[in-house]
Amino acid sequence: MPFSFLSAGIGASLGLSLGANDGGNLFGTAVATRVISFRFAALLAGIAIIAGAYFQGGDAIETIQQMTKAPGNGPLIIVSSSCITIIIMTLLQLPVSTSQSLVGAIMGVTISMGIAPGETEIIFDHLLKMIFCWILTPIGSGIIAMVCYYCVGAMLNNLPVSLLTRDKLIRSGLIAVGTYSAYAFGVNNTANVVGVFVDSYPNINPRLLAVLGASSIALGIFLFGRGLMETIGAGLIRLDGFTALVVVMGEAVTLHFFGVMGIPVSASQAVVGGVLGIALIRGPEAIDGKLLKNIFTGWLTTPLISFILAAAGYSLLIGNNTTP
Amino acid sequence: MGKLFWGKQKEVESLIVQFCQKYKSALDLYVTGMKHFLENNDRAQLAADVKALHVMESQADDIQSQISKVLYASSLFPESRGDILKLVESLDAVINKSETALRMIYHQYIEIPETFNADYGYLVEATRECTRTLRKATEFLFDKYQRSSDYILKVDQLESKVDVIEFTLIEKIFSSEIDLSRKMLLRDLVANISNIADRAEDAAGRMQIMLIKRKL
Repeated sequence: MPFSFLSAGIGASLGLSLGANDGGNLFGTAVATRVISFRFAALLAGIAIIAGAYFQGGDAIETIQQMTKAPGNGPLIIVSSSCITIIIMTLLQLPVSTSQSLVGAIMGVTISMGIAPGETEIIFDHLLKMIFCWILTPIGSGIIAMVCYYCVGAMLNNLPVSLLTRDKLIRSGLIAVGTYSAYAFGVNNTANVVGVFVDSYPNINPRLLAVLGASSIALGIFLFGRGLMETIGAGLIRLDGFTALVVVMGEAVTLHFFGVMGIPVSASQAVVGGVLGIALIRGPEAIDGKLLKNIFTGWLTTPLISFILAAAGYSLLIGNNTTP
Repeated sequence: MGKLFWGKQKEVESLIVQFCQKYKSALDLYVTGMKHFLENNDRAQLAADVKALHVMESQADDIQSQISKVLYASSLFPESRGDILKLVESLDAVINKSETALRMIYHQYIEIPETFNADYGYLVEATRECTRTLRKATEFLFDKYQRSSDYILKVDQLESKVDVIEFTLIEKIFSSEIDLSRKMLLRDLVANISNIADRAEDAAGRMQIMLIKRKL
């Protein structure tokens, strides 16, 4: 029972940090430009995340569940390592992906405890698929954002409306697309919070577990997401209402697509891809090169740090015991 | 819910329509005042015209102030809020300049020699055309914004026309036989009248930037 409380607590804290860090990727520009209030954005995001997790979050959860072959306290070590990695990266002011830190930790524990001969193929098949999708995430999001930029842009350029109506359409779009991106985030990222615990709680319906995980993400947005939501957009390049709209569209479609495919990916990297796509159209000189370097550094080091932490944690705490 | 989100937009649009009406009335008063002055130089009539224009200018200022308040309470993008405020300010500058020109005639007891009457009339008419085109551009910006670009271009062309009339008239004034002091006064009046078109061009330039920023 203490295990249950501890793992639920650490799982919830991972959900809280996910909500705190990624809320800005969903409604950042809408809140920062006062299109909607933070509270309303957090409410919309919370409902959509829970809906996404409930209706379509199962595939990504199943992937993480299949990759997690750690018995006993293994899931606790995975999630703890992932949490510590997120804290380290945040302290180093490097962008961090929860999906990557979690998968890094899963691999750390898996390799540390030794993979059963029959499972090697399944685990590495999932891993390779994930790495491939991580690379595709910013590329896909960037391409979608660019296509949306041209298509929606052409539509807006030719709509016989007033300047204020044009503004209104973009603001409505930001709310609609923000809600969709929150839904897609629930589909894709809830697995990061609950996927490793599915086997540890066989009596709980995975859908209920998904709703609990999504609720912790929603709570994270409510409690800690305000700062990031209000400052988002001051990053790689300056986002105006329209560019924010197409960037979030790219992010949402990418997250949803990979979520349905059962691959948890990073919402932040999807946003970075979208922003870079827009920068390619508007002129790459607007990109903050130092920040871009930080993003790539974070991209590479996140899974590595969590892998090391989880492998070391498992070896030290459980590896020497005969019954983990 | 819709009213909560977009109610302020309707208010902004309605205030801008009101502002454009005041702009039109103010510039009509300016042109009427100038015509009264050029045709019969009636000082009492001129005083009444200056007063009426001042009242109209104050009313436009009040609407401008309301627009500013409503804009900052609205959910428009900050950039749009700033753009609209600056645009209204630049339109207000056109009204202010028209009042300045009319006031100059009244307070400085200007009398225009008969030989320049037609030229001044021509200059006033050219500035009127320029400011009227600017109003159309503004109205289209808040109706079908893409169509305003034709009018913005036209404002620029009309301002150039005003410049040509201005320089020709100044040359004509200084080549005449009247006193130098009077020449200078008449030149200042010409400059004040053509300044109205300059302000109109500034406002049109601001609109052009607004359109460029929104071109995707």
